[in-house]
Amino acid sequence: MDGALAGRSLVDLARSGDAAAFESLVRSRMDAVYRLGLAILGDEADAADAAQMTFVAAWQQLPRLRDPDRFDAWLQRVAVNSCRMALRTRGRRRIREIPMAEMDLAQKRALGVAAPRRADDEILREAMRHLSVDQRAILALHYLDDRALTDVAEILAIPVGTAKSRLFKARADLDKALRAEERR
Amino acid sequence: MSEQSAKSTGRAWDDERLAGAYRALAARPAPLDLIDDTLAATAEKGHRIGRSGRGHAWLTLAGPRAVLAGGAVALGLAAILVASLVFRSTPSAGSGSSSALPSASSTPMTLSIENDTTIAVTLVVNGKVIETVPAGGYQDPIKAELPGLPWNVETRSPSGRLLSSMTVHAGDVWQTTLPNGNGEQHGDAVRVDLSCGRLDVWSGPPLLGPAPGPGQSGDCA
Repeated sequence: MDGALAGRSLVDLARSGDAAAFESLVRSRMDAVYRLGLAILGDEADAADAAQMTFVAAWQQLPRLRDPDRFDAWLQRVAVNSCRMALRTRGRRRIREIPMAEMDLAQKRALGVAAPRRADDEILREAMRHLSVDQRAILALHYLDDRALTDVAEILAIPVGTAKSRLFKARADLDKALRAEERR
Repeated sequence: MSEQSAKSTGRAWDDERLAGAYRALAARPAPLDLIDDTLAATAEKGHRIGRSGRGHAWLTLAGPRAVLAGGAVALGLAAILVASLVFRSTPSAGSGSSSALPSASSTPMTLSIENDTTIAVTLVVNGKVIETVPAGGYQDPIKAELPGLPWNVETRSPSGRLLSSMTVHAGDVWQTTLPNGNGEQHGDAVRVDLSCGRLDVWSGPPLLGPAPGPGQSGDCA
């Protein structure tokens, strides 16, 4: 049995309530879901929360999945929705954690010391704060794993043309935020 | 900052540089205990239950994730649908645990829709057409401007046939933290399973639940 068939079989079993099959799906997909959460949320604790929420929701909603061959796209969509909820919940209930590196930077600025050059992922993380969660999601889906626009559209359940225009707008907004962040 | 971080070079943010930044941002694997915690949460709380209708609630679990987050500020977000009706005027009547609610707080009112059918669905609030959501469309929340509460929400097929309806009042959406640290969120929702797919409309936490029903012939006209 090849990998695709094995995956399909696991999804079929999990849909019918096989907990062991679902566990295999969790083990094989956790890293991908967690990484997507990191790319959208920019925070490890939030990404872990969203990943856990993704799989709990996936277990509950699996019977809704009509086409097991589309499980991975469906799971990514559940993950995006979980990130949306995590971000919304964080906005309401969570105190922002300030990384030590950020505190050092602020102190150096206050003292007039030249700030060290920041890493690209750090700049990206800060720039993302200026984007909506939908914009973060479409950018992460496209750039993190070099997904084609058709795949991104399938995950987000939107037409390809819509995905294209949303990606274009999100990229433009991110560019502005990145440039502003680099000037800081 | 991770060791994989790429130092800023001052060059333009082209696709290659952006992709590299994303890869560095998401370079870390999932924490070792995340899988076990997730499986435990699924086994303990992830029952496949749900129902359609007005008024629903979610539990948000303060569990292993809060520990993993390294501080008390991160709430566990494993959410499950509790298939209990919640009465708007007496929220504590909706579930047994609600009698111990210490401080329910209302949240901003939003409206969301997931049109998992093969037809375009028109969303109408208080008699005003808000927008038409295409087949497979999803908006959470709806960006269009909504009239003042209460909302008489209807969804209609392309022929104008009423597909679903619900009423949302101020205060219907609220959340609280229970003494045991778990959270609970309440809202309004309506779900209809048509022969051409499922249609969910909600205010507050989204609906989860069982596989779509078959619907009836002609109900998507």
